[in-house]
Amino acid sequence: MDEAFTLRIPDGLDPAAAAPLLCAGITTYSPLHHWKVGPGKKVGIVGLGGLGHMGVKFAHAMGARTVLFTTSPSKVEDGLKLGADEVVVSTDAGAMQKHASSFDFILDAVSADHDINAYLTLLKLDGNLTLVGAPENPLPVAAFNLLLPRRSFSGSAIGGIAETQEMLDFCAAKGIASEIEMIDIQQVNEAYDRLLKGDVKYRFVIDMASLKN
Amino acid sequence: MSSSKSYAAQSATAALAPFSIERREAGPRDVHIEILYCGVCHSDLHQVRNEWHNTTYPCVPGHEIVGRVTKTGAEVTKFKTGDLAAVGCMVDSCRECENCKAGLEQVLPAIPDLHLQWPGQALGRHHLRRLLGFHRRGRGLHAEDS
Repeated sequence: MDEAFTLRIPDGLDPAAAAPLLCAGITTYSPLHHWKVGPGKKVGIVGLGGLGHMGVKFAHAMGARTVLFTTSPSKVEDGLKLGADEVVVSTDAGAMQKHASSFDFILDAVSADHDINAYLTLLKLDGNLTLVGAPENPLPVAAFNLLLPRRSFSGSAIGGIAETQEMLDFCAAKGIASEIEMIDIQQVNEAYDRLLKGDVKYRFVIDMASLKN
Repeated sequence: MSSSKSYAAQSATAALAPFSIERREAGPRDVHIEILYCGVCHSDLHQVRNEWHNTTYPCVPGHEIVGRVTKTGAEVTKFKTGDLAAVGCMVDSCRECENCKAGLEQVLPAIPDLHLQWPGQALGRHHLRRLLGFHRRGRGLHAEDS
């Protein structure tokens, strides 16, 4: 492996819990960093899965007021433990309405079809919503949700090598890593089935020593 | 060439099963990494089942990799044997375009589609995995041993 594309794992990072940082970590860190999330900013994370749980941890560690949106009331407690200041169950229209036009930035980590307009309306003037999930079908956007408040809607995919190293160093400095369930490689097909059901908190990591078995 | 153990899918409908992959020899700028841990990303599942219509088989998925350096090439300066090292979604790029020079190797210049091609990657236990090809130096997009 060319050393120019090989990342250093800083001291203090658990190597197993660091593995998901290489994709789920940089995919969420890069847009939060690019859109200057930090103290004084109100940030929304949509979806609590492999990506979303890292989004919550990063936004919190960057010092932003962090609000998690989830369709699952059962995830409220986890969201708060992971660092969210508030968790909104997105099927509750009243709870959503309370946050209208108030966010500086929203990171959307949902890969299933969902109503993007419900989140665009939560952005304030010049707010941005960045998509990191990959829904299969096109997402309808109502133009007026963007026009008057000059909101923007964008996307992001992983990050460069230097930024990936910066993210790993940030994780070590802040004591952040992924929440993982370790499996043997012989369980990988079962893990895929569970992944499709959302039955993992929040990332499977394969212990490659099991490949010797 | 050397061979490594891995788990591969042989088709879009096949389960992952043990498979031996051939590795190219390590070069002077290469680090040899024994893979300790590999995360499971939904992208792996998309790729294994050809849901993005670009998978080549056999497909060995995995792009969240942490391991230990077991050997370094003569020109390697950043790593030594025993270090923890990690590999993500990219294993090479052209290193010449504006995006690469700006540290945005993940962004391909002026290619109309599939700027980001998730690839035939590796769950192999040893080092030097077949990963995704981004804009590999001078040769466009394709998966490649790296």
